[in-house]
Amino acid sequence: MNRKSTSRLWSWIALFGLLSTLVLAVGFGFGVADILSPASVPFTEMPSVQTPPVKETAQADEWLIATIGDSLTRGTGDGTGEGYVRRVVKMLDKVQDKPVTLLNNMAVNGMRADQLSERLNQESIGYVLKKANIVLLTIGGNDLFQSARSEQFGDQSLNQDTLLAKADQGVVHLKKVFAGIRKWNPDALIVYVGLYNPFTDLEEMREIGNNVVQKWNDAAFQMINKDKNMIMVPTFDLFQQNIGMYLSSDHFHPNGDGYQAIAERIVQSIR
Amino acid sequence: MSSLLPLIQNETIKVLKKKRFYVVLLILIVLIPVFTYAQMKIAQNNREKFNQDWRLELQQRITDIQNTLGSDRVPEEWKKYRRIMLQQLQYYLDHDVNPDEPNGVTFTRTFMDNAVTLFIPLLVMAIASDIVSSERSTGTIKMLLTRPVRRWKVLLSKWIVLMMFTGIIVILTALLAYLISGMVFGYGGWTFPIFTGFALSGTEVNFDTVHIVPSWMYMLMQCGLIWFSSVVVAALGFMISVLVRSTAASIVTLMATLIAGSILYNMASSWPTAKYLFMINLKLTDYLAGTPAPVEGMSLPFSLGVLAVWGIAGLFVAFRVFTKQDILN
Repeated sequence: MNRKSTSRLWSWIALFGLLSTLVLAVGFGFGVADILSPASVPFTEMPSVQTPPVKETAQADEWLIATIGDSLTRGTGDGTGEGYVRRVVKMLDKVQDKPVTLLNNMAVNGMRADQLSERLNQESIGYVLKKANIVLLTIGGNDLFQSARSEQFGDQSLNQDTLLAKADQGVVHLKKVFAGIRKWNPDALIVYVGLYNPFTDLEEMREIGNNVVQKWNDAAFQMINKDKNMIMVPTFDLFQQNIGMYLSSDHFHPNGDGYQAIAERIVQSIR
Repeated sequence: MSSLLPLIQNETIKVLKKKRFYVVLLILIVLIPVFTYAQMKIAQNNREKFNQDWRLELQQRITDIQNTLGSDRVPEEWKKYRRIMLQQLQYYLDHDVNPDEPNGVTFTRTFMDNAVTLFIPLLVMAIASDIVSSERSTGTIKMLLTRPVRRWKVLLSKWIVLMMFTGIIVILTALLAYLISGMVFGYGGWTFPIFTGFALSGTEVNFDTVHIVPSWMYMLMQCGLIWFSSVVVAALGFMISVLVRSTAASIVTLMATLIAGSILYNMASSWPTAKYLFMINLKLTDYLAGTPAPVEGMSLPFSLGVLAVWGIAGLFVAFRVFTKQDILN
């Protein structure tokens, strides 16, 4: 490097350094100003709510599945993490030739029917439901047994009357859930997975649990029966004798085999 | 001033001749493509899984966060952070804006956000650490100080040069990140809307002050805040460079401090006094993005204050020691 090019390089560096520092100092000033008194810098705008446009709902040439509900739809208890949802998607993919896509699994652990009907008001949930042509859902288990689970072996909350009262309450919300889904998508096939009794192996709970679950399933069936594009997939009988085989170690959620059994039922009814 | 300019020129040429600056450039040119490639893989993966629709992906992200919130095993601190994240993501979704629109500008923004605590300070350190100490380890300091120039002027010229390079490093990092990632993600997105002004109180997000800034403006503000943090790191590196004779020792000292800071950052919530450490306050960009600060009660003025005190103290010590100390051997 000769003297001349060195001195030219130095002046470039100095200029670049000076400019950088100036630009950054301005940025720093803007940044501080904007944080301390929001929207005080130029070029800011106020946000407006925009609903995303949805393309024409998918036609019959593909299966677009959206799932919503509680931990069962989430797949809690399944060691492989697949739950019935991914198993259904895989099986459907095998048994027929249309492409199957799982759009979203919007299930949240511990969700009750009242929370779900609330959640269905969200624009962003609606966006996904609008795109789908099949909606799978499970809900209700937590409405009935949420408190029972935490005190599983205390008999306080497990008496029949309280549980029946809970079922009565929950069913009202279940109706809102179905209406909520229909509001977003009048055409999709809605598949409701019925409840099972996770306590059939506990002598004192077997009968009470069966009564309550059956009451819930009856009420759900009455609602589903009114809509020709809704079906209910029963799971009650699956678990009646097979609790040991189908339930995971938390004694509430199905294990992989349990989810497999549920998934097979669903595929049988919608393929 | 007239006697300062030749000194600055001299110091600049020294920095260039010592090739430290080229090392910085090389690091940037090698590492940014690595990050770009990783980011590209993630983007590809997501696009395949979610049917090319970012709204579905974002909805799934929100649902996943909701699910972790229900778990008792997740520490309360993380839940707080995730609750805030959740509300912000939902806000983006409700306004139909993709927070991760794939383009060069988004990449640069994310990259700079992650670079502020360790990567950029490291690059600044590469220059700062040896700017004084190398003079002493090579013995050239005696020649420098026997000139008929006041000692503080010598040091001031070094500081000015360091400031120049700090600015250059911040701008260059952003520029290279943009240019390199743009080859993959495209060079657009300068006017894409970014939400800022999320006011946090506890786990609640107040959306009253939320407003839209175009991406370029956001980046300008972000780089400005990063620059301020970098100047403070440079000041402290400068001080250590004056105090410690060997360049290696001065790099190790400051790097250890910075790394300790990034470890502490995650634990700071259970040790509130940590908020007076400069390392905890380096992430000024968090205030812009609306990410919760590591310690309850930290705010932008507080962080700026802490950083300014550390920076000024560093410079004060540097000048004090440099003008008073005896140069032996």
